[in-house]
Amino acid sequence: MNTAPDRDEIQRDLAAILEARLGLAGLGSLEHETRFFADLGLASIDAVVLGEAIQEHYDRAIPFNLMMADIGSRSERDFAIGELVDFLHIQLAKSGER
Amino acid sequence: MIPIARPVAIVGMSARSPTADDLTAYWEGLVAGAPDASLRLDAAEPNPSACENALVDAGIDPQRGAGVPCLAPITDAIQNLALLQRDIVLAGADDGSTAFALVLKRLEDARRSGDRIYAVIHRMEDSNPRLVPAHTRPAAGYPGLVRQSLALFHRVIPPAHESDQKRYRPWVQNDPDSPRTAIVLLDRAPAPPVCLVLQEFPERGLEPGPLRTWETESILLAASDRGELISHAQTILSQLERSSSRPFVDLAFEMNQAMDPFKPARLGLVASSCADLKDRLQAAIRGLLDPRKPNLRDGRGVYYFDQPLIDRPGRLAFLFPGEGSQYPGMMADLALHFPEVVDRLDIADRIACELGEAILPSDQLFASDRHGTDGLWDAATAVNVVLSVQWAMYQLLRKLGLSPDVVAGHSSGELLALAAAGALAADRRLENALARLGAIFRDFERSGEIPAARLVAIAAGRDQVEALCHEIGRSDLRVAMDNCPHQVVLAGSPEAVECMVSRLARLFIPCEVLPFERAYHTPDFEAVMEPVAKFLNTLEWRAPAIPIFSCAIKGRMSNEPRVLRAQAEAQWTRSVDFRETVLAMHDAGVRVFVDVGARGNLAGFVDDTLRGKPSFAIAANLPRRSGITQLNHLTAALFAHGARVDWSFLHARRRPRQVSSAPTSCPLDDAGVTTALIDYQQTMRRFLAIQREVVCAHLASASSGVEDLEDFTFDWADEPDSEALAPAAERSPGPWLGRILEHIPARELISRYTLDPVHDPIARHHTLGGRRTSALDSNLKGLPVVPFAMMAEMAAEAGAILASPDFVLTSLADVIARKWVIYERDLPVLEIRAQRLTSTRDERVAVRIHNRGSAGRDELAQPIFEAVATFEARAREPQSARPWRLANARPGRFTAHTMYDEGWLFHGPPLQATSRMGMIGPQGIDADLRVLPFAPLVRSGQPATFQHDVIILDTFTHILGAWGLDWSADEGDVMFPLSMALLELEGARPAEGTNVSCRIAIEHADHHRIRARAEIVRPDGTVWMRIQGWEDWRFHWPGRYRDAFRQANHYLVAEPLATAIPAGSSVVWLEPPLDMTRPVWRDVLEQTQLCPGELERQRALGDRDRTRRLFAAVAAKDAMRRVLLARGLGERFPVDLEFVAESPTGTHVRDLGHADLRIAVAVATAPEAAIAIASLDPDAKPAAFLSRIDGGETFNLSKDQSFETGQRGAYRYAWSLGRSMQQ
Repeated sequence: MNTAPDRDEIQRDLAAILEARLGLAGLGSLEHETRFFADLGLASIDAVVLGEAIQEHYDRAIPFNLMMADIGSRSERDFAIGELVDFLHIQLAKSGER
Repeated sequence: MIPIARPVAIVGMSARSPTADDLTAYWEGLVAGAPDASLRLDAAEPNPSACENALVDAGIDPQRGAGVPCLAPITDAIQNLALLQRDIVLAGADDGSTAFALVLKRLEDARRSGDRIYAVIHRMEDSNPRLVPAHTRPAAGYPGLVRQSLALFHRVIPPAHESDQKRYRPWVQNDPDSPRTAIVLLDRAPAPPVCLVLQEFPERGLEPGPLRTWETESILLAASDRGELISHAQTILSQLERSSSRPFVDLAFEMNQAMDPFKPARLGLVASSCADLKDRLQAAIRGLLDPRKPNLRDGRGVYYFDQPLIDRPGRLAFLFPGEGSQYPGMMADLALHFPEVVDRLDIADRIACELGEAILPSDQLFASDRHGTDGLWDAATAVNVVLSVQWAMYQLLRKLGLSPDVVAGHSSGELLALAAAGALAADRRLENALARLGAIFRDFERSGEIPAARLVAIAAGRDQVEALCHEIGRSDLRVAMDNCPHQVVLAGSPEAVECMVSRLARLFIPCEVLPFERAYHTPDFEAVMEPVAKFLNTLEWRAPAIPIFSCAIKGRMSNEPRVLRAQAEAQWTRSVDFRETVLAMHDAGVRVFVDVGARGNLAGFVDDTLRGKPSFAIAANLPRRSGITQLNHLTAALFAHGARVDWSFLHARRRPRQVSSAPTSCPLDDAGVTTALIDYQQTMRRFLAIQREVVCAHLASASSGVEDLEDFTFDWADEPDSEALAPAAERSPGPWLGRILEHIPARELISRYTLDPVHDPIARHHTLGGRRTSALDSNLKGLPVVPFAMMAEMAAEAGAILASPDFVLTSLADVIARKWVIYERDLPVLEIRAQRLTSTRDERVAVRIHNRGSAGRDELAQPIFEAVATFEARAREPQSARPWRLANARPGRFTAHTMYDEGWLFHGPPLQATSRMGMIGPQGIDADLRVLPFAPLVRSGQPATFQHDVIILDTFTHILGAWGLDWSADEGDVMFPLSMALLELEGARPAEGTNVSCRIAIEHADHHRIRARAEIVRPDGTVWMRIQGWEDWRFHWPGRYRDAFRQANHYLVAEPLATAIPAGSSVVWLEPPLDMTRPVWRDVLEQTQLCPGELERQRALGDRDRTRRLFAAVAAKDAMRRVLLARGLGERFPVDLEFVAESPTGTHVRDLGHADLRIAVAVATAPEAAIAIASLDPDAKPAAFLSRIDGGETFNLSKDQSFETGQRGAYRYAWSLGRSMQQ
């Protein structure tokens, strides 16, 4: 049985992926409320690349299209790192249960 | 209606409300949506504080305002001004906690005084104004008056607090002939209320911006290496730890000012406050201390790169996106701070008006709550909005000092790429082109002709997407755009797209159906290409100045205009292959990409495409980050990557307050400054001691033969004793490098050259204002100034020191001249700072020249001259010259002789290399130049060798000047060199005496600028020098000023006034062009109109008095010269006359050549004008005569103790006499 990573672990993984795949260097610790677009200055395509890298990292398919559709419907089309951690925690737990 | 006889200018204001202590706080509150204070209009009460603050705001010393009344009701104040009862009035009201005061002047007076004018009150009307713009409902009372004045001044509409409009918006005006207008309701119960009609004052300078405080600042630090950068950051951090109460904007300004742009290790930071800066510094220091991190880019505002990517020309690309990069509200925040953006938005609205659009772009962008956002996606609006806004952003980037080496456009963005590269005109013609293109698309849409297609952006690569198309059996889906490995845009029928979207959902692949349905970039668009092709044919195509890459051909576009046009046409029907284009640009050497659009998509595409390769992409604007913050990120990031960023542009309108003048101190509290300064000095002493050892070792090893090494000092405060310490002959690159202060071989150099008007021969041969200004002293000439070519040579000589021995100069690029530099008597010092840009493989050196003032004591300020010098192992092989033929040419009006002899040019014999003038036409001019010896231009004992031929380069400007004189109308024929994109040298310098051909092609000429290119061609037809992108600034004056500069004895600048005056008298009116009130043309006027004694006295005067005194003297002398001419007593040079005021024998002008000839004069002056009367009659009393004309007041300069009185008097004369002249 797979063990789903906890939130802290996911957050550390995210920081490493952002550094390795999106060229963010010297990030240090990521904060929950850090916004992907407004604070990190990333572009829409970076979200796609991040999604792909996360799937590669955890070696499983994750429905990022749902999350992107949700973000697209918001007035502030942005998301916080904490939201992404929560989303991944749920999705990874689901796939871990299978 | 209540008439206002004369428009009234609001020149100063103060405000105090329960929530704001001053005008700035009040305005910031309004912009943030705070409610106005309420105050009825007629509650006028004196309030010294409000009055004083408003006067200070108007630039008036409150102590001088003893006679100025306290607050008056606004209607009374206006009437007082209109009836000339007062010149300055204060209006306003005070009810204790709330006070508003306004300083008012007649518009004509305010304009003459050069006052900052918030708004102009044009009229009073009844309370039912008909011309109220929809979005500027009337405001009431003094709060409304202040609010609307500020809104007009800043062109920003604050949110209306009682409405649901939450945000400020740019105040956009579509009609250039109709200024922005606001209405203020004057509630005068029980009398019927009336309205004041306010308008913006359209003549603008560099007024303060609306908000001094920005949400973030960029802070730029530089050091010699990473280790020193860490120390520098730690020092600043420790200073910040001790806290400072100073505004963050001022701290940022001072830190940036202390930054040495020549240091290669660069750290760019973005922070919102002192505390935030501490966080950034801590993060930066942590990262810099970690040797595993060559780069820092945390997305939040830390940028550092061990290997900066802008290390040579050709690295920086600007990318212009097309349709789809728009979003509601875009650029509103930048419009708040940068008038350049509002200007472009005005144009966008005007274009839409001309197209007959019902809803203007500004409404689409900034009032989308009322209109929805769909309109933003209409074809005509989209093209107009996207391209206009992007062009505004491009202007901002250029003002930040960023110039692209390469450009590319995505879809319709290619039009701007073409304009940015110079292939298309970037002036009013571009606006018209946008309007016509918009009209074409509007017609497509209305007629339904535009081929429809649904577009879907898919987050996957091209191969995968094409495989999916095949898999679902939809071969009718086509790739319209291949943006990057993670995004492809497909075009197809709605059914086909629907089918694909379903398939993508099952694969968890994100996708987005785009909000427009136009089959751009597919063969289907061919059906409607005819109007687009016709449109492109109407444009004026030129060879681009920089490379343009096309997404249709996935490579560099042609330099041939005809081919270029065809390529631009083809891109509309071909897919946009942005991914491969970016790869091609990278292969061509481009490393840094700036997305000039509003969304930043292209930057993301570039990052995705070049992941893993040395590259960097950044957006100039992002929808989810404020415009200011992203601009700061861009500044910090590009600075860290080695770009030459003019950060001062970000502070230009924010009135930075500097506490310390120490250029390298940490800008904290006083104690902090002292500590930082001591630390700095100790560090510098250590650093310089090491430097000295390095320099000694280097020069010794080079057998330099420098004898005075022991006296070598790096103490910049020392007055340079001479240029005796210039490097020895075998290492000397030329005579104008001066004394070397600091030299790290192959890396950096700082030297100083003292401008000596007596011992520098070139000072005698380059004299603005003419070669002969006196009949009594042939040594008197125009104003000696440093030629452009001389500064170019200084840059080349500095570069030669840093280049490898035996390498030769092959080009000078990006040459910018910002100011004339005068050979002053107090020996100004030019500081030359040079830095090798790259490793030893590359031989480019960036050079900046600063004017450090007398004895080099001035602070290091913006460079006056910049260039990049390139050196190669051997001279370039000479190429054949371009075919040369001038269309519609004729012989010029000048010969080589008359051009100099008649004073059309101001150069002495050693610089007169023109041997024959050739033909001239609307598109160019040619002439023969003779290669002359250098020795007459250099000081005795200095080497007469140059890196390039200074004389020929200077003489090229003579020929270009001759074109301006010959081909221009009476005005615009005086020109000043601004910049030169490139000077290339091929082969060796021809032998002295050789005649070479100078062929100049005029590429562009408008009211203020001329751009040209040229080739200097040897007798065998090969090119010796090639000049590209030369730009001159044109001065527009009445021709008599130019003529007075060339033959001062023959031409007069003051105009005679036709009025009844006694026989033997003359009255003249002098109103020189504004240029004559400022350096350097005022200096030239002084030099050519004042005798040595007058010049001496001028130097003791303050700025304003200096201009007034000069104008008084010129007017007085011209009045006298007219009297002498009328009597047949001959011409005089003004320099041979002396204006004597405050003499016991009365104000007069005396002839220095005839001691007994003196003429009584009376003069009245204003800041920009003077009137004078002169009479031969020894008993005449000109002052009394002037007073008779004016009706009782005397305005003799010597008796005139009141500036205001003199000003009023002079203009009253002008008005009355002007009328009589017209009659």
